[in-house]
Amino acid sequence: MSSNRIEKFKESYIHSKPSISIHRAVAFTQSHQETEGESVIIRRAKAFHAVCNRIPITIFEDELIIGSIGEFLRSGIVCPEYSWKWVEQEMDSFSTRSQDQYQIDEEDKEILRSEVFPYWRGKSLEETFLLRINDETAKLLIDTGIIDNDSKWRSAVGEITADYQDIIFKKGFEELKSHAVIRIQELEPTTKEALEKIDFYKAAVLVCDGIITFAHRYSDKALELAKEERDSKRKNELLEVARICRKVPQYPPETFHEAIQMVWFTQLGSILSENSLALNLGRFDQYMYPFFTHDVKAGIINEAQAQELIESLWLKLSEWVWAISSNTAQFFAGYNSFQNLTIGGRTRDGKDATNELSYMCLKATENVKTHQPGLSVRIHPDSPDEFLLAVCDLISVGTGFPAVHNDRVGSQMLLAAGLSPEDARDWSNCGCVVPHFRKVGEWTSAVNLNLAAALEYALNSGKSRISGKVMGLVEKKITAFKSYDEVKEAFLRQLSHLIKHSVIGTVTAQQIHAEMVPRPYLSMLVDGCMDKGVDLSKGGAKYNVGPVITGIGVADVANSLVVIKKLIFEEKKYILEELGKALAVNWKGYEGMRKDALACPKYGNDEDEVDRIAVEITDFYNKEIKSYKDYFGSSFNSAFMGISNYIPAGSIIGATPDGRKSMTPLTEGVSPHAGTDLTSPTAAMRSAAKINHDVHSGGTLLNVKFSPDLLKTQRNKKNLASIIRAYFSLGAFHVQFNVISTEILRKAQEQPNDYKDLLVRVAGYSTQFVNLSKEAQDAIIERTTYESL
Amino acid sequence: MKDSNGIVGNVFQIQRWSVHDGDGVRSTVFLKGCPLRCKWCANPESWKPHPEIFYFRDRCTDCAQCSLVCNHQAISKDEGVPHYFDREKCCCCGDCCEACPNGAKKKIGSLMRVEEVIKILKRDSIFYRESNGGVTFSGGEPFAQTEFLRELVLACKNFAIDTAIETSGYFEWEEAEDIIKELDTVFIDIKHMDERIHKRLTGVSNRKILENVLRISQNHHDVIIRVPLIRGVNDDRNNIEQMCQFLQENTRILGVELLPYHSLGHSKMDALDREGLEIFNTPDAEQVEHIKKIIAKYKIQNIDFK
Ligand code: SF4
Ligand code: SF4
Ligand code: SF4
Repeated sequence: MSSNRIEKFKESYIHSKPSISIHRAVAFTQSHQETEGESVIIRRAKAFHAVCNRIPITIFEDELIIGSIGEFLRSGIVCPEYSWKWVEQEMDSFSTRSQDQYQIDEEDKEILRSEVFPYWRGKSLEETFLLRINDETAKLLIDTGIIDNDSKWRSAVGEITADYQDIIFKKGFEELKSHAVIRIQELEPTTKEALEKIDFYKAAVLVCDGIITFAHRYSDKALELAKEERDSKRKNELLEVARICRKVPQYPPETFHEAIQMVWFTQLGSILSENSLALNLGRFDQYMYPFFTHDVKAGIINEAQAQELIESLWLKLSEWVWAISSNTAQFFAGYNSFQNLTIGGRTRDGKDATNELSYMCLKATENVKTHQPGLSVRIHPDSPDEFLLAVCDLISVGTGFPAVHNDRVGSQMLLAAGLSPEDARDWSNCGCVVPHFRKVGEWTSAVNLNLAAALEYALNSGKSRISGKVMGLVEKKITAFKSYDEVKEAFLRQLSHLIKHSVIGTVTAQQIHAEMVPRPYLSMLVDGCMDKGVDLSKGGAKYNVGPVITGIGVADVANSLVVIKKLIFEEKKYILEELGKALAVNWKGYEGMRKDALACPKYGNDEDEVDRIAVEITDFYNKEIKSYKDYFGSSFNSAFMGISNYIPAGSIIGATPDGRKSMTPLTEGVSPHAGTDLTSPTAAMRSAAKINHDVHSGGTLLNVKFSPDLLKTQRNKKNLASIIRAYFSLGAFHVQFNVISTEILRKAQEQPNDYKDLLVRVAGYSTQFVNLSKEAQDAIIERTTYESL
Repeated sequence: MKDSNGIVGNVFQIQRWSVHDGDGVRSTVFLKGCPLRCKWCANPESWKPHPEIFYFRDRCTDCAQCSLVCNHQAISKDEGVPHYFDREKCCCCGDCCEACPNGAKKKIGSLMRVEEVIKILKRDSIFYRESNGGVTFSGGEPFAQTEFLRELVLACKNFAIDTAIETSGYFEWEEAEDIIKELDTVFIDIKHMDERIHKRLTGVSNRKILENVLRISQNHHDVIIRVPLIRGVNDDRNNIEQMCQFLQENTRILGVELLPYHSLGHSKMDALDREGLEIFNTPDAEQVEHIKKIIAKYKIQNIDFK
């Protein structure tokens, strides 16, 4: 149970509707109107500064941790500099659309229409990208679901982990600022580099000033409220909060409360600067621990108070809403903002790092049941059994949290990406399941690539079955294949083709980002930028790791190829031409063939025949992707994670040889296709573990669904802990569990009001079930339960 | 049973991720064949030692696809005549099961070699090790295939896989003794203490079973007594106290596990076109608690693998 205060917050949180606050957009735009002609980075820093000075300051009732991106309890903001057209087109239906609704005021809409959008016409990132991307790539890339990177040109990148350990808590923004001031004085503007550096440091001064002022405005507001407050306890709280906001984030924190408030201000700055996904909190239990032990020892705080502060932060992280287009909402359903927070694991020198805060974070998620932060745990062979059991306790509650990661494989993935051993041990998650490090600049989710599309084009002379248009390489007709290997090779060629265009889409976007949308504020949070005087968007981070291309539908392609191998070339029961016809008519009239296809081995049942194909495809995918270098010269990386993108990705694919019907969902990550992993969770895990996880530096994801009655007793939880350890000894990276009975989900579909707090794991993250679209809900219900086994 | 490649047995299911039949994560091997005919049996498809065919009428659309593949004239082909399945003529080859597009027919049981079974069991070794789990042999009555069982148990031992058995207790001690010594855990049923009632409900006397309980408990230290708890049949104080007395005075066991009755067997009987089960009631939670208290009074541990 949480404190009364937290229970009350929760209540008002659950009952408030996400609303669009326009102040950030207005301030950001006005500033740009005032700075025409200045350098891009300075203009963006000034705009950030303006936002910090102008947006309304709101302290909600009884809050201990304060600060908000807008005036509403659940505010979303729009960033027209990235993309505004969708807002203009869609804002009238914001409150009625099927996925992720927002409230928006009529007057505010008018202001956006008349004062904000006109300025950005022709200037937004989206418009620039669409203008610059070559036609051939555009055909595959723009809103097709084939290869998709719209999160890299319709919005900002996000995907950073603020460095509290070495920068923010150590220096505070005041020191960063003075450092910048010194550098400006040192530099002579005699070279191209020096000119750029001077601009960078000038921008640094502006953003540091901005975030400090923002906190001071909160301090003033708290004082003002304290004056009016009659309740003496609350008055004291407000005075304390006012004191804290005077101090942080300007100066380093000294107490637990100060540190947590500093985390939230830092986070607010990130959100206000670019409103992006995956602004991660990193290893919270590690960097907060010194403050915790200090305060407890000094009698400043007790455990219950610390717990309340942690839970306050959890609510804050859930309050802000990532405003997205209805198209993007299909991919990132459920107001999710992917702020990942990682606990457990090992220290930089390899000891177990689990501490009291690790447990308190688990408890916070259990208590508040909010969809943020995305709680991740790192488990290694020497992780205490108690900790893993506490993790299993939380899993059994059914919030879908935490995502459980193999500590060692995470390190291996980062070693493979070029990090030092100590840094590789110090990893934390980005977004959903990408192993990441706070000194890394990386596009951790650069492109989603639809593997099933490559197969479709190989079997259909390069054409999409849905649109009939040529989208892939036009090679041989289906009748011309003489062997299984020829089919497989054709698929791999189509796949390489999609990878090539994913790379083109990414480097084009990277080029434009470096030109147009430098990230002066975020450059303060990532090590390397300040030293080098180079913006994060220009490769300023200590490590530049190449962008990640995520494959969707491994299971579907492996299942399909094994059908072709067996039924066509081994048993010779059908010829390819017949199969092609069956797929073209979505199996209508070919029920017998479909039955045979469905009876073929399916990935996820520990059957080598099909699992080996999955391994072959994923290995190829990795090598092919790694052969490309990004805008800064780093190798691209592969991943099989998944947002809820397996649903829209499936909607553009016709029937597949595995028996899947046209336009139905594909599969996320390295999970088995829904409803086909009928053997056992252990078999599903063994199949998934056959994939070489360690080379996919962008992460891999396995989703296993459990019915809650299998996790009621301590015995069950121990078994769960054991299979996690076993799965990890097999070399796999990540697993998460959905523990919800289908019965409950059906009820929640019918009576959403009674199930507002029901959390489910969508793929890489959890969100409120009732916030999902009907299709997304159905897909979740359909996933295999092991209940009946 | 033997074929040219060695010992074979009739297995009707291998269930991986079995978490209620002993410690940890287990795989359970269900061996076909049972000398008893319990009137509450949940696995009547296990009774006969040879393969059988489930026929689920509610799934059948009378499409007659199955009749096309049957080489034994066991399925009527006449058009217009409702599809008729003649079990007398059926040899249980299972061809029709594969042909049926609606999953209305399912073959139960197939002959497997020891190595085939072990290969599947070994797949989850790593899960057994992490969870202190292993393999459980169940049925039917696993001792009904003594030779096959012996080979399986020895093979598991060879790979250091923990083994458990679920037995009705109805078997010849001399034939089973050496296997029992190899097993890590034995679950053995006591269905009723009264010989006459036992005979009426299961078709056999309980004498041999109780003797085997005694012998096993003298030869083995990990013995768990299982009681399928059925309301109004064996959940009366008298029967429970008698059992406890018997156990307390004569045996050393780990404890007793109560398994409240469920009626899963009936639909399976229908699918086998068989009769002979009775409908019973499940004792309510309160009654179960009450019985647990009686058992505890005798200083016998109540064990639960929930
Ligand atoms: S199992 Fe074999 S013999 Fe029996 S009905 Fe089916 S096909 Fe005919
Ligand atoms: S094939 Fe199946 S559905 Fe058709 S008649 Fe035979 S049992 Fe019934
Ligand atoms: S001993 Fe078990 S399998 Fe045999 S009839 Fe009785 S309940 Fe069924």
